[in-house]
Amino acid sequence: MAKSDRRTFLKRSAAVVPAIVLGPEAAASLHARPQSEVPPAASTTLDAGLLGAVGAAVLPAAELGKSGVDQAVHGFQGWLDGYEPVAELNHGYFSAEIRYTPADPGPRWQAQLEALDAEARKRHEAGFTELGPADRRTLLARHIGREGANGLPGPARADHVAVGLLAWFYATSEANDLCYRARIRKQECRGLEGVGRPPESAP
Amino acid sequence: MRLRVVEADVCIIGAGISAAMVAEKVSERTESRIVVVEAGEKIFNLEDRFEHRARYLAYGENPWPDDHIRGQTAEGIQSRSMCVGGLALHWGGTVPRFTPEDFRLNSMYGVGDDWPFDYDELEPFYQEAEERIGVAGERGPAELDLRSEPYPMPAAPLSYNLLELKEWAEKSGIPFWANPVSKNTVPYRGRNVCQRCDTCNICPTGAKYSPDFTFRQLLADGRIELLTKTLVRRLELEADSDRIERAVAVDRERPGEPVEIRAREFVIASGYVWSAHLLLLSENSRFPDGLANRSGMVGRYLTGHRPASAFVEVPIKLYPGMYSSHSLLSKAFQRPGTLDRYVRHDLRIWTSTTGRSPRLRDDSGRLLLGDEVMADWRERTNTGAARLRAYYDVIPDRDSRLTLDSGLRNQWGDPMPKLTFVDAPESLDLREHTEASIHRVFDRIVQAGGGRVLRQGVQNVYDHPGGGCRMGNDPTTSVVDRFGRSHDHENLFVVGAPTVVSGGCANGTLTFSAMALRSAEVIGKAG
Repeated sequence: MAKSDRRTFLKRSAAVVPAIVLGPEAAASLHARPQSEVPPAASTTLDAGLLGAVGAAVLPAAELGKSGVDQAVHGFQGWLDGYEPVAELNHGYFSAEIRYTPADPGPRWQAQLEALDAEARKRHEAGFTELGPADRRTLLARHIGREGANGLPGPARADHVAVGLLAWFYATSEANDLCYRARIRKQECRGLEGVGRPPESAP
Repeated sequence: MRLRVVEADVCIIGAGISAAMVAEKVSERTESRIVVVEAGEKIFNLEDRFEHRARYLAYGENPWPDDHIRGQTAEGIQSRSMCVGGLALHWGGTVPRFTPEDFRLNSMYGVGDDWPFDYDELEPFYQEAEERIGVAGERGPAELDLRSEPYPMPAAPLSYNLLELKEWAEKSGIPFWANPVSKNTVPYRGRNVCQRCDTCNICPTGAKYSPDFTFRQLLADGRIELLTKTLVRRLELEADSDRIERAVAVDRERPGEPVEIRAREFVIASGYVWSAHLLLLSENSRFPDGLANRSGMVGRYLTGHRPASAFVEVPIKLYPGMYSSHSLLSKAFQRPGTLDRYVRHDLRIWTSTTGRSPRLRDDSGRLLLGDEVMADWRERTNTGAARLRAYYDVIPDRDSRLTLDSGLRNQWGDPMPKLTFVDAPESLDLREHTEASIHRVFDRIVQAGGGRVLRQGVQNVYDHPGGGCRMGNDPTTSVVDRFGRSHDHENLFVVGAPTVVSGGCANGTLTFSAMALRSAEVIGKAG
């Protein structure tokens, strides 16, 4: 899929939820948006095997299971596909400064995945995907260094791909619900009904 | 160069919430031809908001693309929004009223200045603003929450978290109730009910009021003409009088074709920065210090309130994310009665995630990976956290001021404003006492309800800024009269935030709107 096509696909996918709320007419207007309005997007597709191996090592695999880890890794790649470098960031109160998203982190992250694999081969005579979880984490810890000392950054500002994946995953509503074992569904448009009761439990 | 002349009865400069209030009301009460002139873009994008929201949530992107003008900024400006809807496109929609004390600070407490009218005089216009905007609220204790009629809509319901926090906080003896919001709890004026999306800076359903809805309707009904991307650069006088004859503007898309707007009355509704800025830019031989500025007060007495916050661990299991934008309010300290020493502030409580966010390193600095991250996060959520916040009013100094900065110009060569916020000496004297009092209130709540303060502090900002075209009865100490009419020019009004005498100790937008509606009582009646 060409990069502009992928970007368009992602933007149109994002319109599926609005279509439910706004109705078919408004949704049609979203789909009719001319191609010329779609800004260029980042284009890096990370090595799926290596990214999956990172995901299995750093995500809460015992609770997510393999399919949950795969889903998270897929979601992270989808996020990267839609990433737009130097897009204007939200500006609120107290600052007149206009800030922009950082450069595309994709190439750096892909290089890091390749470096993890190369180092695994040198240290263990096996590719990163073939290592057990403990060896993968040891290697990742060395690469992550001191990053994360002040909490998880925004995904695009993560220096290391593993931190980017963690930052993206832990910002999701799914991760929040998993932590609280409750269907909070943060930032979903949920209506006001039932808000006074504790959220349903999600064992 | 071809001059484009637009003729109207009432010319409103700016298209934020105060302009929306004036345009709507004047169009209902008079037959005036109304033209609204806005320097920025028209962003009527309800159909696109889910998409912008998705990008904002995923990437932090500006959900209001093109809501500002490159180069139209300056030191001290606290927001860049300049478009139809203004700052009230991405506002949070919190709409408390000020209390009677705010209008009588000098008479009651011997600090600051009294306003040229009192709460009772503004009260009907508060109600009118609440009805036009659409406010959902519940009345607090009658002695703290003065109002003559019910809110237009039932309050936004308290989440489970806020119900728990209300019980926790009220152990201190301080009453709390639902914060009033400009978000629909029932269908209202053709707009949707709040869906609890919790991204109020971009409300994807249109349940939160923003002025674009008003302008959209006024345009659909043919009740106004709206010029966008048209920057008014100066106002000019009639040849032999002090009346304003025309607004001289530039069409940002066709800068080679100057635009003039001629009208019987001019209303500057350009917020706390650009209102005074336009008057200063409009200097001439008869008004060498700027229009409406015989008093020398244009640009002075910039005001606002300062936020003090505490983040608190509470001995309650909470579920952040249920309805994070909603909060509890108390006006107990806005109406303190007799005081030995002046201190007034509002009080709000939100659910917080402080100390309860996922992290990569534990307290010892050890890297967490895999299941350890989730286990560490979960363990820290056994107790909840709350944010307590108090706005206290800063008494503005005469030199809290907007001036023209000849060293910084926009692309048309106009000097940009420079804003310097200064506390009055009496406010500086009170600062330590005020902040200590607020911290004692925070401690009182925590001691009564249980828990501990994790951190607290004061942001050194003026929130909800106003002033620069101060209202008053005395033409030597104020810019406009009690209706917003310039003391110096009978057909010139300034409305909303710039005209406040002081910033109060609660979010200001409802007060700005009520004042604009009060001004609209007399606008458009001439000729």
